[in-house]
Amino acid sequence: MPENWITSIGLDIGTSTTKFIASQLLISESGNGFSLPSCQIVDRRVTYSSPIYTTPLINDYKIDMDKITCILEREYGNSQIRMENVKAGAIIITGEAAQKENAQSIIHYLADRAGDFVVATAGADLEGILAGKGSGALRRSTQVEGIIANIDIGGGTANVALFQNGRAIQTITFNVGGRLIRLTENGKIVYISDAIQLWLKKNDFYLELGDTLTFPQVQEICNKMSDSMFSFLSGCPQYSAELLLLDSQPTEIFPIDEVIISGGIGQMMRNGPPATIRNVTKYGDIGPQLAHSLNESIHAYSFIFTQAQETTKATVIGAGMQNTEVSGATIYVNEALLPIKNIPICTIPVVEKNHQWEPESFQIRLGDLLEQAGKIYHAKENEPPIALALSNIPNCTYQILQELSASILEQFRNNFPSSHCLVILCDSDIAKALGQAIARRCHGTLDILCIDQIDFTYGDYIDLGLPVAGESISISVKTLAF
Amino acid sequence: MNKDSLLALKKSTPARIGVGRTGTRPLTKDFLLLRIDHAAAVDTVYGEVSAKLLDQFNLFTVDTCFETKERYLTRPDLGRIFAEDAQALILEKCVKRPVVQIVISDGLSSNAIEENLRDVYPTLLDSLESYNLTTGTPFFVRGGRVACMDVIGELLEPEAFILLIGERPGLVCAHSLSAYMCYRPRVGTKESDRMVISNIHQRGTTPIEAAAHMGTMIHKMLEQKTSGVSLVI
Repeated sequence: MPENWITSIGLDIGTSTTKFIASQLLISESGNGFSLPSCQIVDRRVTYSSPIYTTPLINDYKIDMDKITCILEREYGNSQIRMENVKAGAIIITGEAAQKENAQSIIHYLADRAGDFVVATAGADLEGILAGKGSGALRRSTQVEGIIANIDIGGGTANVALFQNGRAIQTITFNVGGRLIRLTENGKIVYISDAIQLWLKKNDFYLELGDTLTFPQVQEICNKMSDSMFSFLSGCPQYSAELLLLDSQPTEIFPIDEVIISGGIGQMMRNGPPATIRNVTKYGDIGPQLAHSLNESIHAYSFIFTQAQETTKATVIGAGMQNTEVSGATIYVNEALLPIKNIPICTIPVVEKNHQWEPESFQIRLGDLLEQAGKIYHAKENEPPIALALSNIPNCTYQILQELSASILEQFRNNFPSSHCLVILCDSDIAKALGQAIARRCHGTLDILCIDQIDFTYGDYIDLGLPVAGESISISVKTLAF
Repeated sequence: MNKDSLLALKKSTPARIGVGRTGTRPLTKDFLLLRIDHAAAVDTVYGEVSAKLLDQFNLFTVDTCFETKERYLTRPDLGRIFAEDAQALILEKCVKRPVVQIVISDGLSSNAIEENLRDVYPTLLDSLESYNLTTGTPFFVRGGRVACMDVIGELLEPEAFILLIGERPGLVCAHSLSAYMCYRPRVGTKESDRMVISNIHQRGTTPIEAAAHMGTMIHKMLEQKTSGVSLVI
């Protein structure tokens, strides 16, 4: 069977640390000669892993872009890979770093210096999912019954991703991290993140810059923080836990059976408890105590606590190794148009739950969706304004195929009259048939790209890469784009 | 093993797993189900493709030398050849030297044709059209075997051939279709020159996607002027 390796990189810029990895992905055509061809990533190997850098900052809020660029260049050198050979990968700005004023410009700046096929992204949802892939939580969910929560805790945020049967089913982000409060070695407060001010006050911690915290006070704050988060995850929030949630978050969560903790704090949980304020402040923050509090408090809840395969590097490994997927092997694309980046995904179920195929209903729902999308997204010339993602596709007969393609073409033309490129994603194996059917109807007036076997449940944007084997192309689904 | 895991396993396969037993025998309902599936497999071998379906797609019928289903089963060689009058009928009705010749045959499963032809055939025609490939005169072969395409190839001399034929039924699925494809099949063509997409039915290889891909494969055969193991996909 033909097989080929592609090079992928990951760069994770967190609130406190920055890491880089290089990896190799083995793509293999696995068709057996009697069925339709299929193609998948069959092996992912880390080939290089950088030391852990302290994220360079100019001040409390601003990341030092020049120094980050130096790190990237140095690590490209150390890993002995050439930028032009990098065919996949991701740069991800995580935790508090993502909220800092210049996250967007950094990502833009770095994307140009990392390689053409490297995705630049930020955002807690994707970060949580990538960390769960890197830590082994996703794989664990394929091996055991129930819901596995991966909690990736670093300096600024705790990104929780819930996995079941090998799929991410929910993400939640807390402002819980080691560097939200920074202390001198004697316990004097030099920084308090705005994100936790309300929660602190609500729990009767009145902290001011310059105050000195005693060891028991730090313990109390960290214990409350741990209990807030775990109680929220167990479904019975205490200590105003909702004030620790980032932005708008789900108020109801799935029942969690097992917890894996990754990230820098996850790593510290393997150390012994701090005994003095000096032990606590060894990194100038509350991290070691937070790790110990989590260790203590998790036993009060009914979750099974499982060790992570990777802790500190979970996110960067997830970014470097797991961000890229390959599409189905029977698809409809015009290679000349690839790659296309940052296409917003608009999802529509082809049939609604407990319903049959109803062409009129689909036509109306699609019209509404595209009308809304048309108000938000305006494509540049020759670029697709959106990727129309079809979920819940029924057993597709020739008749359904014809009605579906007619509806899509009509509604797309109505709502994006000046657009020349239509991108469709399907969750089941019908992309080539659908692409051909629409192309046949539009008589060459539109460029059609129709791709299948993609999990687009957790994504807002998609990048379509180049063909990697047979007809399959590399793709990455992400949550934020710049 | 707990119940949820067993149910998940049962859901992942149509095979008869976790059916339970009473003493040393299966439960009555499972035993009846097995009898039903076996009967369906027998029926599909002995069944006939309806005239209505063949008319819908303007397919005339030609018989091989099989004579009866019993002989068809014991003498596969008879399903590969045609009597002189059948050959004359093919020559009389069909366009000669088409780019693509499509033939449909019941083979070992008439239900494979009944269940899948309405989706596969029109999608296949659309797919070929999208590659600007023209087709000859399609027809239906009753009692055909895969290599009947060699004799038809000799008669009509098409560039490429697609035979949609019913597969040997199993106890899980009795209406599975195969598409055999070949570049310039003639008498004496080696099996290694044929290509196949098998297991085509709603719960197997998606019929419309399989048909859409046949167009791509035929396009590649004509481009590379070969098929089978020497075709670069």
